[in-house]
Amino acid sequence: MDSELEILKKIWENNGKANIRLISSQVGFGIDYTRYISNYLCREGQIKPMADRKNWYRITSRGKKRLRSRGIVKLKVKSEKHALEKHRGLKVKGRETEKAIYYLPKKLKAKSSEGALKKASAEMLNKNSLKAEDEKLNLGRSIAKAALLLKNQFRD
Amino acid sequence: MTNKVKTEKTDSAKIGRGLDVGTAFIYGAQKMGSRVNFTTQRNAFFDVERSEFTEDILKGSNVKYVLGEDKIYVVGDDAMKLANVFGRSARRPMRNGVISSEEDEALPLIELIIKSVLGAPFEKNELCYYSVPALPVDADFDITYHQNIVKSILEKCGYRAKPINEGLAVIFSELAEDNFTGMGISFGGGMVNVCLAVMSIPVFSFSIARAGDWIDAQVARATNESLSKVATFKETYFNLKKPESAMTKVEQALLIYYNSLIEYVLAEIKKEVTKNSRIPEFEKPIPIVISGGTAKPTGFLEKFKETLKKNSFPLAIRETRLAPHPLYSVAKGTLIAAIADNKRN
Repeated sequence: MDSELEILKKIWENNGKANIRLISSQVGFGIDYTRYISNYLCREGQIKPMADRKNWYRITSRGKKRLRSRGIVKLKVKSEKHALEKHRGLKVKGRETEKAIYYLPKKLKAKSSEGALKKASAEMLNKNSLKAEDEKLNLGRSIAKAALLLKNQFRD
Repeated sequence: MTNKVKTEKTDSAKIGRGLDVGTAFIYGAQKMGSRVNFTTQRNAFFDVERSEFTEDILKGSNVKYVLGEDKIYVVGDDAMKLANVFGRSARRPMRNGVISSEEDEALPLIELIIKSVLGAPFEKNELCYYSVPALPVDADFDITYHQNIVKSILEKCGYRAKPINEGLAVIFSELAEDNFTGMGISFGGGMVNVCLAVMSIPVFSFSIARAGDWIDAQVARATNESLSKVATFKETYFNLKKPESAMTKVEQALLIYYNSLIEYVLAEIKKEVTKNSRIPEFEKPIPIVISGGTAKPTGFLEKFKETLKKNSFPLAIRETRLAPHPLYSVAKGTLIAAIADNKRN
């Protein structure tokens, strides 16, 4: 999940409104970085600053839509069981029962940073862009001698 | 020429590799005929937001970087330089000698750095000895997780991995002439590792979770400078022999904490020797050999000897010396262990 989605999700989870400091502490980003992303989300219309509270944002319907489309938040639908019970004429206490649907649990479009990094790392290593610095020293003989002595120590 | 390279490669495949997994740097060692190739990568990274603009800038420079999903990770020395420019601290995949639990990206980055240092093995299951710290005497963590993670990374790369204590690697590297008898001390970035051995067999080994990084942190706090700035200054210019009156605020703080670290390490060694009932009777005074990046500044050895002289020490010491290549000492020791192991089998 990318930074924008993580921030959106946190606002959603805090009853649709949260302040910068709260989001920052929950997501683990720095305050400046959280503010930067929040400003971007504001421009995109996915969150809105709250007029009565400084540094507070609330999620807009566009933001909610984005989270739903990524399968990050669960949706409430009428349960099939409930419908069946109603059909059979049984009494049901609650008005509706919750059923959670998680979209794309196996094929999330947002990849974890670790996976992406691993893929990138292989690519980079092939291109030699992460080449280690090297130094050659004439220590071959002394190392061979030390290894021989050590081998004899092991044998003794 | 081609034949020579081929022969060297075959020899190397037979004799194995050495790897020093340090908090600040990762070193690889590989014997190629009469020469030994030491490869180095700073164990640090710095992340910047990924954008086309930043990518273009980095592509045009010699900076080592890795592309992440939404971030660019600058790796190695350039991470420190960039951290200094931004007035922030570089991020470290390791802390106190082991893999950091605080860094989410620690594992993929450490894997990447190890791969860049070692390269691919010449043949499958090539033997590679890697350094691990001893159990710390002043911190509450064990090394099992770290040891196994590094092992799995090496095995994934196609090596047959075997761990070796860091202090013992210093003894293998520097005390061959003394029949591998004496004390090896590695002053690293995250830890100080101490090992006392008799004829290559460790009598005791322990680590202290206070070393170069601790000095940097204390100095940065005392002088209100960034960690990366203090570390860069310490590694590049710091001289412990400089007269105190001519020292800047940062240099004075570095001197104070260097003195404090040396005293602390010697006190811990003294404590260990005194409480350990298995210390053998040495026929003659033993040598102490010092290695590691924290021991590199000019005047460190003199300061160590001075402090050793001031305090009574429970073992008779013949000499105290600095390894000729203090940065490569552990990697060299691990390579010697790999060669000896291969010869034995």
